[in-house]
Amino acid sequence: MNRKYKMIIIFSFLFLFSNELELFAKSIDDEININNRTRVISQNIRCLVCQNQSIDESNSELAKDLKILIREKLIAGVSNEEIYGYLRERYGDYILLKPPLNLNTTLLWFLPFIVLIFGSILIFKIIKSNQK
Amino acid sequence: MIPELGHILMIITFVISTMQCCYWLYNLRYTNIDVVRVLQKGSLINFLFIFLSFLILTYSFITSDFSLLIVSNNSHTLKPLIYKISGVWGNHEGSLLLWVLILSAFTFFVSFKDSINSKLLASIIGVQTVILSLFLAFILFTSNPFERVDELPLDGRGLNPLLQDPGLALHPPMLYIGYVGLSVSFSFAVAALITGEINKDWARQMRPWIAIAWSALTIGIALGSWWAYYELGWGGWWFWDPVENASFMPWLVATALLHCVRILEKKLIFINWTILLSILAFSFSLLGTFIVRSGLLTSVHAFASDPSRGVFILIILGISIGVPLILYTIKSSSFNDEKGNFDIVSKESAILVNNLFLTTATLTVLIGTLYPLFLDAINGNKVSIGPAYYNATFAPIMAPVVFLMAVAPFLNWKKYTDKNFIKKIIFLSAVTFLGGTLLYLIEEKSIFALICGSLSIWLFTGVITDLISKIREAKVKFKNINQFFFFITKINLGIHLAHIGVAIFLAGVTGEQFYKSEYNVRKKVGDIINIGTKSLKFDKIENIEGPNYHSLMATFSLYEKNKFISKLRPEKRFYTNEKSQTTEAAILSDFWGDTYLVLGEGDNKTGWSLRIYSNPLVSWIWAGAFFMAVGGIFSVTQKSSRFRNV
Amino acid sequence: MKHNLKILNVLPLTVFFFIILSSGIVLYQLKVDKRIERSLASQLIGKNVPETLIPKENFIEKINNLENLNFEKYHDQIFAVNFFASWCAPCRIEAPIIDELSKVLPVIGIAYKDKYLDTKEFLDNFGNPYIETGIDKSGKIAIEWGLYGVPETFLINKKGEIIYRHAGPLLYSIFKDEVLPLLESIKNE
Repeated sequence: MNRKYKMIIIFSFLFLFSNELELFAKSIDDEININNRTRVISQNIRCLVCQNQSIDESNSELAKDLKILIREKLIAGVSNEEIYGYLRERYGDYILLKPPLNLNTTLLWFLPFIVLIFGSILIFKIIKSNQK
Repeated sequence: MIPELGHILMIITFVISTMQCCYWLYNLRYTNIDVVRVLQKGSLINFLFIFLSFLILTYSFITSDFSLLIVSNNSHTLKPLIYKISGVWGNHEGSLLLWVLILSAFTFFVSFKDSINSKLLASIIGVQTVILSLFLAFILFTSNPFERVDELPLDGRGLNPLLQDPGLALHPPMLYIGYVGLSVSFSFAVAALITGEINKDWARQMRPWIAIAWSALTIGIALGSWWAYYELGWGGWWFWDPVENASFMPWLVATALLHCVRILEKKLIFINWTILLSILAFSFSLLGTFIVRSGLLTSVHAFASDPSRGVFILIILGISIGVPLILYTIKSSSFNDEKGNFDIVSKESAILVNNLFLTTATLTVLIGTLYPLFLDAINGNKVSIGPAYYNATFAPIMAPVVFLMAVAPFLNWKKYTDKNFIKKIIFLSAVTFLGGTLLYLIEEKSIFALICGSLSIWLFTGVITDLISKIREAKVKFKNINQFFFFITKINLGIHLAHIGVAIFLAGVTGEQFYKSEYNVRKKVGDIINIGTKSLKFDKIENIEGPNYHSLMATFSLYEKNKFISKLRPEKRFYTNEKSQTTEAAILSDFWGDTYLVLGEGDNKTGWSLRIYSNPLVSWIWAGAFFMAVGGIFSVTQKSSRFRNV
Repeated sequence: MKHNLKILNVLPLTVFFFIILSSGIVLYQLKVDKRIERSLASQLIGKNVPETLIPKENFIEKINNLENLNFEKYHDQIFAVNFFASWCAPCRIEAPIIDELSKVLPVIGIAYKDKYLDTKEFLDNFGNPYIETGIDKSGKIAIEWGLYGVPETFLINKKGEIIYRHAGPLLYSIFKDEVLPLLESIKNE
C-alpha cells in the first residue's frame, strides 16, 4: 500500500516534470519561430520614412515600433496575412514591398509573362521560317 | 577668371558641334572622304575643348574655389585630395560634364577609324555630334557647372560622407564609360538606317565598341554594388533600388546585343532586331543617366522642384530616341534578311532564345521601376515594388538563360553536327546531380537554394567542358607569343571567361542569399560572442580622430577554434562639416566568405548593439563580375570569328 | 508572316510614344497637382476613427477628465485629432495654428512617444489648445492611425469618419485654404 502510493507520487511527479520540460522546449521553439516570422514579415514591409528600405534593414523609430508591433501580434497568435492586412489598411499598398495582386497591379505581374509567351511564339516562327 | 574660361570653352564647343551637325546634314547626300575629314577635325576640337573645360573644373575643386556654386556645395578644404577630385562628378552638373567628356572622347576615337567606309563614318560622327550638342545645350541652359555664388562662403558644405569612398569615386566614371560607350553602337545603328546600307563588316566594326562599353558597365555596376555592401552596413549587395535598376537595364540589353551581333557577323539575318537592340541599349543608358540625376525616382519632390530640367530631359529623350525610332519605322522594311538556313538546334537559335529572355528580363526590371510612378499618375495609388517582386518574375526568367549558357557554346553555327553534344549534356547532368546532392547534404535549405546552386555547378562544368574540347580542337603549339594570341582567339577565351564569371557570380549569390546567417546581440567590452565555429572577443571601444570626422571605433578579436585570426574594427563616423553619420562595417573577407560586423547604438553600461553577418562566398559575386568584364575585354581583341569553324 | 513583321516595325515607336506621353503627364501632374502630398492623405479617409485606448495615467489633466480616450462623447460633433511631441521642432511652428483651430472645434492632442513632464512643459510653454491630451508612449496608437511622423492632423465628421488628414506642420495657408473651407462645407450638410 505504502509502496503503491510512493509509485504514484513518483510517476505523477515525473509526469508533471516531463510536461514542464515539454512546455519549456516548446517555448524555445516558439521563440525562434516568432523571431523568424518577424524577420520575414519585416523584410516585406517598407520603411515609410526611409528611401527604398525594408523595416528589417532600417533603424528609424517608426521601423522599430512596427517591428515590435509585428512581434507582439505574432505572439498573440495573429497570422502573417492578418498582419499584412492590418498594416495595409492603415498605410495602404505602399507599405507592402511585395505588391499584392489586384486590379492595379495586374499589368505589373502578368506583362512579363505575356511578353514571354508572345515572344516565344514569334521566335519559334522565325526559327521555323529560317530552316533549310 | 579661370572658371569663366571653362564656361566659354563649353559655349564654343556647343557652337562648333552644332555647326558640325548642320554641315553633316547639309552634305548628307554627297558624303565622301573630305566631309569625313572635316568632321574628324571637329570632333578632335570638341574633345580637346571639353577636356580642358573638365580640367578647369577639376582645378577649381582641387584649389577649393568656393566662388563656384557646385564647389561650395560639394567640397570642403579639409577633404582629402582624392575626394576633392571625385567631388567633380559627385554632383549633377559635374557628372554631366564628365558624361559629355566621355562622349566626346568616344566620338573622337571612333571618328579616326578609317577602316569604316566614309559614308557610314560620316553619319556615325554626325549622330554622335548631335547627341553631344544636345547634352551641351542641356548643361549650358539648365545645369551650368561654372555658376558663381553671389556671396563667397567661408568654407564648402562638403561631399555627402557616404560618397567619400574609393569604390564610389571610381563607380561613376566606369558606369559612364559603359553608358556612353553604347552611344557608338547606337550611332552605328542610326547611321545604317540613314545610309540604308548594312553588311557583315558593319557588325564586325561595331562589336568591339559594345564589348568595351559592356565591360565598363559590368565593372561600374559591380563597384556600385560592392560599395553598397560595405558602406551601407545592411550586409546586402543588391537592393533592386530604382537607381541600381537604371544601370542594370542597359547592361541587360547590351548583353543581348553583344550576342545578337555575332549572328550578323556571319550572315545578314536579324538586321532589324540588331538595329533595334542598339537603339534600345543607348536609350536605356540615357534613361539611366537622367533617372539618377533627375531624382525622378528616388525623390519625386526634387524633380518637381525644377520642372524646366524635367521638360528639357523629355525633349532630349524625345529627339535622341524618337527620331531614330521614326527612322526605324520607315526604313526597317527596306532591310531584307537573307535566308537563315540554320537548324533548330544551332547557335543561331540559341542566341535568339537568349535575346528573348534577356529582353523580357529587361522589360520586367523596367516595369518594376516605372510602375509605381505611372500608377500614381493614373489613379493616385501608391505601390512599393521590392525584392519579392523581382524574385518572383526576374529570377525565373533569367534561370533558363543560365541553363542555356552552359550548353549553347557546344553548338555549331548553322548545323547540328556535333556528335558529342548528347554526351556532353549527359556528363553535365551527372556532375550537376552529384553537386546538387552534395549541396543538399551539406545543409538543407529551400528548393530555390538548390536550383540556384545547381545552376552554378551546371554552368561551371559546361564552360570547363567546352573550354577543354575547344583546346583539343585548336591543336596549336606555343612557339611564340603570336601563336599564343592566335590560340586565345581560336578557343574564344573571352566567351569562356565571361561565362565562368556568371557561374562564379551565381555561386556567390547562392551563398549570400541562402546560406548567410545573422546575429543581433548587445554586448559589453570583454564579452565573447560565438558565431558558428568562430568567436568574437569585444576588446575595447574608443574615440578616434580622422581627417574630417570623429570616429567611435570598437575593436574585436576574431578566433576560429581558439586560434586568433584577425582584429575587426567597426566604426561609427561623425562628419562634422556635413553633420551626418556613417557606419563603417568591419569586414573580414576570405575565399570562403565574409564576417561582417556592424557597430550599433549603445553605451558602456548597458552594452553595445551589434549586428554580425556571416556571408558565405559573398566576394565571389564581385569576382564573377570581374571575370565577366575581363572576358568582355578579351572579346574586343577577337576581331571577328573568321578563325572559327565555318 | 509579312503582316506580322509590319506590326513589329511600328511597335517600338508606339511603345516609346506611349512612354514619353505618360512621362509628360506625370511631370505635368507633379507640377500642377502635388499629387504626392494628396495621395498620402487617402488611406484612412472615409473610415471610422481607429480604436484609441490611452491608459488613464497617460492623460494630462485639463478638464477633470481622467478616463480612457473615448470618442463616443464627441458623437454628433466635428472634432480634430492632432499628433504632436515636445521633441518635435515643426510642432512648435504649428502650435499657434492649432490654437486657431481649437477656437473653431474641439481638438484632441496625442503626444507621440513623449514623457509626461516634457509634454506638460511643452503645453505650458506653447499654450494648451487641446480639450484632452493623452500620451502615446509606445507609438502604437500612431501606427493605428497610419502615422508617418509628427505633427499630423486629422479632422473627424459627425458620423465619426475621418474626412481630412494633413501630414507635417499645419501652416496658416493650409488652415485657411483647406481646413476652413472644408469645415464650412460640412457644416451645411
